[in-house]
Amino acid sequence: MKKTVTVSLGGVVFCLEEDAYHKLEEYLRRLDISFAGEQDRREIMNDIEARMAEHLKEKAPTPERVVNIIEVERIIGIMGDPTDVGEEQKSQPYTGRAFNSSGKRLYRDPENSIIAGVSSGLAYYWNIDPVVIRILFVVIALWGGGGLLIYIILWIAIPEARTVTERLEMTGEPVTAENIGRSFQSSNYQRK
Amino acid sequence: MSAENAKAQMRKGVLELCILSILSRGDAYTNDLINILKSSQMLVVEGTLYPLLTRQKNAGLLSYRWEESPQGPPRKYYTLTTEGKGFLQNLEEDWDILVDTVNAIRKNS
Repeated sequence: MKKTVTVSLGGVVFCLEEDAYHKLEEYLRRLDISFAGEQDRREIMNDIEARMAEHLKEKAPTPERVVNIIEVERIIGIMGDPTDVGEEQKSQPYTGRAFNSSGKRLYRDPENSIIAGVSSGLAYYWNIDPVVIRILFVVIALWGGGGLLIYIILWIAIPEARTVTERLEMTGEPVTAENIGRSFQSSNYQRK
Repeated sequence: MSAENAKAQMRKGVLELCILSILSRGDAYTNDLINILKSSQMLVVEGTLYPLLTRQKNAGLLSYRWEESPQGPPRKYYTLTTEGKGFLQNLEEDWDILVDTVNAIRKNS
């Protein structure tokens, strides 16, 4: 027995087994990230989702027919891995606001944190040693207490890197299946 | 560098020309484009096509309209614009020169 998740993909309702749903969600998220430099990222994703819906509909014409992970893997194979599909974007600069010039995203790093991982996250973002940022925070805090306030504000404002994809975005490594696998093994990441 | 990778890169480079060329013969659904490109082995994974189409549309080379489909949601129907026609002609001339040049190089070696 398996749990199912009902989703709307390209305007069509599908019922997916839970593992199939996670697979599809992860794929679409990685694909979306690979289009970060595209002007009409949303439109491309909508088109691709519509096409995936057509492929799924062949095997599951009604929502009563549950889509399993094999079916999801099949259509992912047809659509292609994000590293192949979005590849051309690597040579172009990222224009997405959330990424910096080297394609990194600002997150808090829970794995190398002293308090909340703000310094470690900033260190990845600017590519400097986290110790420097920590010393800076302490110095400003001792000066007049502002450092503590800044830290707390950043704590609230910056999201934590929870998933493997977010960790890769934080460190600036390309989000590929290979990297996700490697990062998965090297971290004590737990599925939500 | 594998031969497969080199072949894929080569195809990718001329994919843009092929899309415009197919549309120059008449308007087409995305599915028609995919079927033609896949059967001629120009397209390996379908996802590659979508960012290209959107980019060509943004560059004013293509336009699309929504059309009702007998089954499922409406589909995009692509048309080549006047600008796209000029662009295609330009690319085609360049393609002919490229083929000649490459062949000349291959025969000399």
